[in-house]
Amino acid sequence: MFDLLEESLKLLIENNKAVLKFDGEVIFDNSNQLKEESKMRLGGKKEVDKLIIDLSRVPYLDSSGVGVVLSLFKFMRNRNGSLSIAEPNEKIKRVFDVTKMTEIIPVYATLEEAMQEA
Amino acid sequence: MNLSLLLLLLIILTALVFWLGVKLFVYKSRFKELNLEREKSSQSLSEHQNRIEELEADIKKKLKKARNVHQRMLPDKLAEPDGYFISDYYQPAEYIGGDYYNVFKIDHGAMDPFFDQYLVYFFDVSGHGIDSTLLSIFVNDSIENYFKLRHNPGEKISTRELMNYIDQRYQKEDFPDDYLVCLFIAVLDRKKNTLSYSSGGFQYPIYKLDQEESLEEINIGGLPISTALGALKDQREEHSVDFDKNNTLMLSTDGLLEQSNGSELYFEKLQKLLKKYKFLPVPFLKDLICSDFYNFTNNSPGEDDITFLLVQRPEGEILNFNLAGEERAAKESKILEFINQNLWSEHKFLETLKNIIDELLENTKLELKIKAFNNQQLLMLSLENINNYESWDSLLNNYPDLTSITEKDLNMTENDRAEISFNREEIYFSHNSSNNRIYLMLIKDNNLS
Repeated sequence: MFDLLEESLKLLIENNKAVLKFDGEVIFDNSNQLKEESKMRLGGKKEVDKLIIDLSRVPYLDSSGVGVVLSLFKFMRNRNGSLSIAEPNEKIKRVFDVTKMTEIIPVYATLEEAMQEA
Repeated sequence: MNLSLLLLLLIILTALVFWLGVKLFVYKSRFKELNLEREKSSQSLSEHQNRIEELEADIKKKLKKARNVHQRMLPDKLAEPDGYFISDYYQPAEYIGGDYYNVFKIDHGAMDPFFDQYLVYFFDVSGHGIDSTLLSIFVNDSIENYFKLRHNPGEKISTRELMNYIDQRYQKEDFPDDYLVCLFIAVLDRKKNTLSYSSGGFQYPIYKLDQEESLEEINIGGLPISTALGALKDQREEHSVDFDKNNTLMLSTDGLLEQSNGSELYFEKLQKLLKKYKFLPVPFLKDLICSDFYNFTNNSPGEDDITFLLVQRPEGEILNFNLAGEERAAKESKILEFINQNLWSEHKFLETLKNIIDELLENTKLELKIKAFNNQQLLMLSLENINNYESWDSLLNNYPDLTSITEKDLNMTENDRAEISFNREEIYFSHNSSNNRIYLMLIKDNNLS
C-alpha cells in the first residue's frame, strides 16, 4: 500500500516551500490515503508555510480528489500558510474555474511560476 | 581383502544404514509434523476464509439494508406543476450513494392562490458510501428545516439565502474537511414560468432544450459547501432562466456526464442525443438517455451515482382528470372524448388505446389520475395509480406489444449515436421510478424532429 503511495505521492521541500506531486488519478479509491499521507509528511515539517500541489501528472480529479485539495487548503490555513496549484491539465483547470475555487486557491500554469509567486 | 578391513567396512556400512534409518525416521516424523501443521494451517486458512466470506456476506446484507433505507429516503413522487412534466432517474454507484433530489410544492398557506412555486433541488455529496448517504440525509433535512422553521408563507424565497442557511448549518456540525457538497437549488415559479437558482460545486452545466434553437449550456458552477472553505455567506449568487413553452431543462449531477468509456466522456454524447430527440416528452427522453448511457458503458453501472432530472414545459394541450371522487362517469367520457378528438379515427392504435383506458376505468377500485397531453406530433397519457390498489402488471400482460424504449435495442450509427425512429406503428410505454405512474405515447407524425 505504502509502496503504491510512494509512487503516487512525492514531497519536495525547499526552505519554507514544499511541492506535493501527485502521480495518477486522485479519486474516491485513493483520496483518503493520499490526504492522510500528505498531512503526515507535512506534519513533521513545521517550517513549511507555502505548499504547492503539482498536478502535472494527474489526468483526472473527481469530487473526492477536490476534497483532498480542500482539506490540504484548510491544513495550510491552520498553520497560517498558503496553498496553490500548479500545472493542472485543461480539464482540471476547468473544474477550478467553474467552481470558482480559483478565487480561493491560486492556480498556476507552471510549477516555476507557482514557485515564484508562492 | 583383509578381514579386519571388511569388518570395518561392514561396521561403517551398518552405522551408515543406521544413521540413514534414524535420519529417515526423523524426516518422516518431521514430515508428519509438517503435514499436520499444513493441515492445521489449511484448516485455519479455510476457517478464516469462511469467516471473511461470512463477514463479507454480512456487510453486503447490511449495505443492502442501508440501500433500502436510502431508496426509501428518495421521494416516491415528485410534485409536478400543471403544464409541466417532470421525469427523474437515480442509480447509486455501489450499494448506496450520496446523491439526492426532490421537487416539492412550496407551502404559502393562505397566500397559495397568489403563488404557485416549486422547490427543485439536487445534490451530490463526495464519495459513495454510508458516510455520504448520512451526509446527504443531513443536507436534505436542512432544506426541509428551512421551510419548517425559517420560511413564512407568502414570503419571497431566495435560493441564495437558502444556500447560506444550509452552509451555516453544515459548518456548525464540523464535518470532516475532505467532504464536499455540490448543490443546486431552484424555485420554479409557475405563474411567471421562471426558474431562479443558486448553485455550488458542480463542474458540468445544466442544459436547456428549445424546439427552435440549439441546445443551451448553462454553467451553474459556484463554490461547493465544505468545512475546509468555511461558511461562505452570499457567495453563491441567484440567477434566473425563463421557462418558455417547449423548453426542457436537464439537470444532472456529475456521475452521468463525466462517465468515460475510455475514449469519450458521456456528456459529449448526451448533447447530440438531446438535440436529436428534443421533441420527446420527458418520460421517454429519460428512457432514451438511460438506454444510450448503458449502451455507452457496455451495461455496467456508472463509476459514480447517476442522477438526473428532466423538467419540461411542453407546447400543446394538457388536460388533467382525477378519477377519484364523484362524477366518475362524466370524467370518463371526457377522457374518451379527448382521445377521439385528438387521434384521427384511422390511427392503427386508436382502438387499442381506448380499450386500455376502458379496462382501467372499469376497475372502480383503482383511483386514477390522468394527465393527457396532445400536440401536432404526438399524444401522451400519463396514468397515475393514486391508491396503489393494483400494479400495472395485468395491463402489461394484456397488452404485451406495448413498446418500451429501455427494452428496445438501440441501433448505433457510424458516429455511435443512438438511433430510434419513433413511428405510428407502436404504442410507446414508460413508467416512473416508483412504478405508480405509467405513460402511453402515440405518434401522429412519422417525420418527427
